[in-house]
Amino acid sequence: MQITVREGTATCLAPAELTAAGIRQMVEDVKKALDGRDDFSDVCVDLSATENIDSMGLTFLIGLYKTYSARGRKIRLTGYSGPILEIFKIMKFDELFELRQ
Amino acid sequence: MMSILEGRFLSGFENAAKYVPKIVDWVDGNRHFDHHSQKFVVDFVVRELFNNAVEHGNRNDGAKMISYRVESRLGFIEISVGDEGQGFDLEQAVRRDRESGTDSVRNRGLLIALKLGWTLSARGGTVTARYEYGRKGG
Repeated sequence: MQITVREGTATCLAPAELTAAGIRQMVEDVKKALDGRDDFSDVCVDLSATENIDSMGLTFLIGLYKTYSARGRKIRLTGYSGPILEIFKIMKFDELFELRQ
Repeated sequence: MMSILEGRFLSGFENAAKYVPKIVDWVDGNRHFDHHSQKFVVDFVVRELFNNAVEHGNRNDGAKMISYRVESRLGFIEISVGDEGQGFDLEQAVRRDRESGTDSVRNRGLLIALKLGWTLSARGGTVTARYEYGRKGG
């Protein structure tokens, strides 16, 4: 997972498959890139490249929410496809995240 | 006309990820998805059945096997995934998922499949998801 911090926003570029097989690596990528940093106030997960997601991918997003909202950061999901939005609606993700398609 | 695809592989998320696109492409070859959303939903459901088998059925034991059977007929598609576990109470699992909060998504994949219009059944270590075309999302 590619992660950059710029002008107070940490942007995580999600892969094409946000699914079980890649979750462990993504968790490590986020920890390595963001742990210990205090130069960002928002976290943006860019899902524009993501074609498929599963419950493990959703769990990963929830994990980001729990970790960074507890530290006072806002979490935003952007660029997701229509079918992924359908899943977000079922999961009531709008109650947790700022959604911006 | 009926078409069937069957196979088995060693349990594990990485192995399962290799079989998901094969199954989705096979379904596409039989049904010819009209919309990207149909392909996405089949992909999602197959992944959830495999995730369930890897994690809950085979308890992350990479020496155990996962089997699958996909049946495509005129009016419906049925996907069965078997593992070497003892099986579980599907109704209880779905009820538990419904009662968990918004910030708890773990294991909710099967509940999402239900909300996408699929029906689920379980027998022993096999979970079957069925979709009848013409219903929601079809």
